[in-house]
Amino acid sequence: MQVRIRRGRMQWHLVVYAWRITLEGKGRTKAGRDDLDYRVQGTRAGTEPVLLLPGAVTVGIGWDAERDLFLAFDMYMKRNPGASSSVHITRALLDTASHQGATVEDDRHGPQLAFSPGAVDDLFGWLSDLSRRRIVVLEPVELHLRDPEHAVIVGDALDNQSTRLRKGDHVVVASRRRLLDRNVWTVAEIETLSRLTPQGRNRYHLRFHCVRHGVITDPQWLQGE
Amino acid sequence: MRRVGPQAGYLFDHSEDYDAARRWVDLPLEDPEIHAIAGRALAEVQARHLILPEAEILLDRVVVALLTGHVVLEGPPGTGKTTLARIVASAFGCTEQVVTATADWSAFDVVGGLQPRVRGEGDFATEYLSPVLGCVTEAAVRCADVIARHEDAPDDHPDQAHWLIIDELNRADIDKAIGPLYTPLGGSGERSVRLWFENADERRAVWLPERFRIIGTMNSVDTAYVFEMSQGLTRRFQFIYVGVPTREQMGEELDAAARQAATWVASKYGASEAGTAEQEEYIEDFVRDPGVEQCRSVLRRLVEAVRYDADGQIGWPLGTAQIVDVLRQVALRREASVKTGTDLISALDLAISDRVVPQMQNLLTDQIDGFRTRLDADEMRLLERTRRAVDRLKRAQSTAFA
Repeated sequence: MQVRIRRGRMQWHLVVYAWRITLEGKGRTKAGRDDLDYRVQGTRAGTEPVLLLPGAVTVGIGWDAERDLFLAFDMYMKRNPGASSSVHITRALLDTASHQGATVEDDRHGPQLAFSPGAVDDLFGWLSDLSRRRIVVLEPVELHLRDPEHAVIVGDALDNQSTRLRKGDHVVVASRRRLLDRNVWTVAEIETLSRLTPQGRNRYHLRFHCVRHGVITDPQWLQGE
Repeated sequence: MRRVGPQAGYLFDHSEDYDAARRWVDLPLEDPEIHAIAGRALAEVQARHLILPEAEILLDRVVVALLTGHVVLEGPPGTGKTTLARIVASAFGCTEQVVTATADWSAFDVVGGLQPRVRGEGDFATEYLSPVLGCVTEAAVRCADVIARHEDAPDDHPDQAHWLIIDELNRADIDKAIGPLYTPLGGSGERSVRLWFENADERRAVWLPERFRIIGTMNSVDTAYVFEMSQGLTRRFQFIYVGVPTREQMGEELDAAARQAATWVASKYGASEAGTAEQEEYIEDFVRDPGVEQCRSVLRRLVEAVRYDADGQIGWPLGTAQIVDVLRQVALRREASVKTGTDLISALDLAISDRVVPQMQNLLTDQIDGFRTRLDADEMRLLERTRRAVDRLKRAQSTAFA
């Protein structure tokens, strides 16, 4: 569904995917427990890719009928082949939002906002953040410094820091919270690569072609974040 | 949201984060060696055949003025002020951008504001207001970009700053347009310009680096549609006069003008590429053509007649660019004149009557009368059409409507 929203001076063109929020499966780790987290079990027609339009924000919305809450999440992170169709949501996020009206979380599932219908203004702030260019700290699978101005950075498509990167975003490469390279890079192009694991499975990687955007001189910068 | 602030590092592109440019605000211009900078500028002036009166002293004054702040080069049109501004910026090791001021300028053009734009297509096309920088704030942000690259790798990026050249500065209502910049341009206080139209914290103000300069050019002869400069502005800019070449420089000036005209024709309409032996041959052939030499001789008489009176004082300061314009038309007509057997003086006569005489409309009646009288003397008697054009101008000037 495409939606155009006007709010004061701001306008958004949204591509919205919407589902219900349900309890996640118990699996082996939570068998017999009643503190299950939640999920949106995403379904799209066949292998149809996520619709990404220039100038539009593609967003996923979940409805939690138990608490009368919406959950917004970044559908861009679900665009890659091999990405799980499920979005996991912590019970804590929904519980906090039901008390406070709105809460954000940004962990391995990417940026999420849980909000009650009365706290819809929080959605607009969250959408603005989603639309802005971001600096992402990435633990790369490979790093190739082609020349002082260009680099190729390869990230794992299962790493949510890789999957959230868009063209124009900035990347800093690090490993175990230490900078691998003091440069800040701008993503110029993104390629999706399929690689066969020794077990014969497809493993998807994202290759980012980058140009140099800046330099970090403060060694504490990463720790400060 | 995560960012690299001015204390944490630096960016090469500040277009998303103006605040990061704060890191470079206090860096002064490097290597303030007046003679070295002026020497580099003089070499380039000579290489470009730009004829300036007392070039060495003029360049020295401009260099010293720029070491202390912003500059306005004022003088008659066609004297090479914009070219000089570019040359001096380059001699300082600075890149530059040129904008031309107009009477419509406001704070929007200089500082910035909200601009309507359209996003999306078809049913989903929406209009929205997007923040844009004005020419000064945009140049200041680019200046920070250049400084950052230079400080990071000076050998790879030798340019130390980026400057703004504002052509025809006095065509703008400059107090209205530049008023919000008075404090940061003053150089002694706050160096940031607040942007009312930006929401993001890192873009609420643009910083003007100490290395940033504005060079304005101002036509001091054609005063139509020109706004007065206020004392506030004149305090923030040093004004330097760039005049027409002296009588002693005229031979050199006409030779340079002929070369520039031939180069222009060869580049625009010639089959050969710039800098090739074929083009050089064409230029030399044009300059040494006896017909062109005769034109230069007549043109010299004419320019002397309008520029300098009997006491050697400047009358109507016709610029070198206008001489080049006339010789371009001569060069364009040269080939046809060979085919038709007409002499080049006819081509010169047409060019002067079409290019120079219309520009005499602002002259006083006495000046036009004096010029008309001189057209009857010496080689200038050959300029029949020019004489008629001046007569028409005189008639138009003496016509009054009650």
